[in-house]
Parts: sequence; C-alpha cells; structure tokens
Amino acid sequence: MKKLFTILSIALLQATSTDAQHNFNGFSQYYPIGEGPNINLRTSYVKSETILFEANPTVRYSFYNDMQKKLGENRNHAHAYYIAARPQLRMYTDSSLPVKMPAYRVLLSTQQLWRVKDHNLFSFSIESGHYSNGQSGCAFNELYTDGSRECDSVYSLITDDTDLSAILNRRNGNFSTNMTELLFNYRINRLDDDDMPDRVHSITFGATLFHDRFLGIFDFGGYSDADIKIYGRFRFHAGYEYERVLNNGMRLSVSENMELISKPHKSVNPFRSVTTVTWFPKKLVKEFGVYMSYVFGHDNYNFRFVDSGHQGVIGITWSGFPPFALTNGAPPEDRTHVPGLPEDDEE
Amino acid sequence: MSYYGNILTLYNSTAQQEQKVATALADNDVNYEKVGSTYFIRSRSKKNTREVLASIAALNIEYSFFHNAIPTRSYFRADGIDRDTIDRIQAIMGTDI
Repeated sequence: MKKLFTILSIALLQATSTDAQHNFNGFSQYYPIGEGPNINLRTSYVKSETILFEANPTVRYSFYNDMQKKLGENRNHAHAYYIAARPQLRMYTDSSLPVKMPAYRVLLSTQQLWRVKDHNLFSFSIESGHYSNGQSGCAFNELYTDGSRECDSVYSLITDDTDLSAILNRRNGNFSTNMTELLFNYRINRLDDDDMPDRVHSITFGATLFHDRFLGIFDFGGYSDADIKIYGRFRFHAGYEYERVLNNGMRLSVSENMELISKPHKSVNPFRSVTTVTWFPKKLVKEFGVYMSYVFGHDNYNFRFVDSGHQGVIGITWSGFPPFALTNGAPPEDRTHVPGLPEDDEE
Repeated sequence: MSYYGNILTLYNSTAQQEQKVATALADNDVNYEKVGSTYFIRSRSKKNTREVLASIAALNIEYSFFHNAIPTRSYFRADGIDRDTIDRIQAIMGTDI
C-alpha cells in the first residue's frame, strides 16, 4: 500500500511537472538550461543498499517565460523567471520499501537567452535557494540527533583517513545547505527547412556554490562548520550534448556531463561523470524520451556523495528544451522590428 | 510534412504580371487558389515560403504577402464566394479542421 501510494504520488508530481511546462497562451515553457524531470531504475553504489527506482520530478513554476514566443518572432533576447522545485527521491528495497533521505532543492531562478550568429543560442541561468534532505539525525550516527553534543563528538572523531561512506547514517542523516548555481550554455544549431534545429551541439559549464545564508541574506537553512568541510564549498560543472533529428523524425541525443567537487573530505571522490544516450520517439509528445546512462564517480543523492563507484541507469525523461521553430519564416532581410509590436527591452 | 497558408494580393496588376506570378508559383511547386487578385498559397516549409516570396519580390510588382506561421490556430471567413472555392481555400490555408 505504501509502495502504491509513493508511486501514485510521484506519478502525480510528474504529471504536474509536465503540465507546468505549458501556459495559457499556447506556447510551451522551455528552458535551455537544466535537467528535465525523469524517473529511472539504477544499480546501487554500495552493497548494503539496493535502489528500486529514483524519481526527479523537477517542476518549474514560471512567473514569466517567453523563450518560444520571442524566438518564434525572430527576437534576439528571451527570458524566464521561475521557482525551480527539484526534488530527488529514491526508493530502496529494504523492508517496507522506504524512500530514504529524499532531497529537495527549492530555488529562485532566472534564465536569459540571446540569439547570436547563425541562430546559435547563448544562455545563462542563476538559481539560488535551499538544498536539504529534511532529516533530523546525526549524519554519521543513527543514535543521535543532528546538532546534539553526542553528534558533535562523532564529528570530532572524523579525520582525513575516515571512510565516510562506511559510517554514513543512511536512515535519517541530515544534509542541509543553501546554494547558488550559475550555468552558461552555448548551442550551435543547424536548422532544417522549417527553421527547426535538426542538429544541435550544446556546451554547458558553470559552478554551484554552497553558502550558509539563504539567498546570501537570511540566516536559516545553512550548513554547520563541520559539514561544509565535508561537502566542499564549490562544485564545478561541464557538459556537452549532441542531438540529431533522424530522417523519420525521431531524435537521438548523446551527452556527457561532469562534476568536480572542490576540496571535499579526503574520502570523497571529487569527480562524477554521467554519459547518457536518449531516444525521443516521434509518435509521443516531443519532450518525452527514453534514456540510458553510465555513471562513474561520486553519488549525487544529497549526503550519499560520500559514496563512489559505477552506476547503470535506464529511465524516461521529459526534455526541457526540445527543438522548436527559431524564426517565424521571414527572410533574413525582413527579420527586423515589426511596427505595432512593443519593443524588446534591449532593442 | 509541415505546411503553411499564405495570402498574396496583387495591386493594379496586369494580365502579364499575373501570368508571371502563376509561373513563379508553379516553379516553386506550391498549391494555390486564385480569387480576383488574391492568391491563397499552400507552401511546404518556411524555406519554401521564403523561395516563393523571393520569386514574387523579383517580379517588381505591387503586392502584399502574409505568411501564417501557425495555420491550425487561424480562422478564415469569406462571403460572396462559392462554397467549393471556400472549401479549397480553407484546405490550402489549413483552416478546414
């Protein structure tokens, strides 16, 4: 019953997520940067735990998003303002099939996009907010609560030689920080006869900063001094994706994403690599795809970043930025401001 | 395959100019319906639309050209034209659904 309820809840979140991609003016709300929602089956990092499945029901609650509209009007600048809710849930095959230590990111966000030479797109995103797993236990001892004197003494025994993966409290260990993520993306688009990208090279790089104050101002939800020495303050990201529309209209994407944690605890593998192949069948909604990934390096499930190894993943996903027409069809000499329409801010 | 509805209207046109327009449309392999000095044109892609427009522009005539990028959300209304012609125009413009 609990399992059924969990699966139904995740399905509802997923449905909300995909529905939230559309607004009432008929344009879909696309985001050039960021992972789309997905559900997957994956192998486990450690022998003591077996993962049943993982869900990332990412939802972006838009205040404003004119990405598709502005590009379709031949404009050169588009933007989006939104709250990103990026939960990450894993169900394990332990007794009663628990969803253990689910992670939540709630981030105030913006994405800005510019059309540059030959319909290539440059964009950046800033997302800032809270990231935690909402647990109350001591991160390295199930018997104590987080912040207690006993828990502090457990932290004081941690040295550079301590294997944190071996002592992690996997039932209710607290992970909490505030964060700001800055990502840059450049897309090289080759357009087809309908001005839809049919071959795309996409390069992304940036960094995540863990900081103590929420939005850098408010004193709540941050980390402890002991925790940040384990987490590492910066996480650097780099990624490349090649996407191609095949002759039959289906799409195939191959991507490589890497993450490097700056100065974590000595037992943490700072590197993470995710290699993914995604197939988007034409018959279904164009955002929907099926993917397989190979993961190498540290885990990305809140405090389980102390685990390291290999993972195989298979799942379904919804792309946040599928191909859509990047012009309204006008010849280049006519792609100027249209009289009667409001001016762009920057034009 | 995608398609687009377009409306070309000629002003003060001569029979010779209209013959040139007909040739240009045939050269670009588009389906069209002519009513008076107005041509309802079904193009196959945005690139095809641009080629039609370039051919028309090269004729050095007075004209207006409307390209409807989202035909399935458009609406067509006409009076004083026979039902069959309206049906053919609606099929060309994509407003017959």
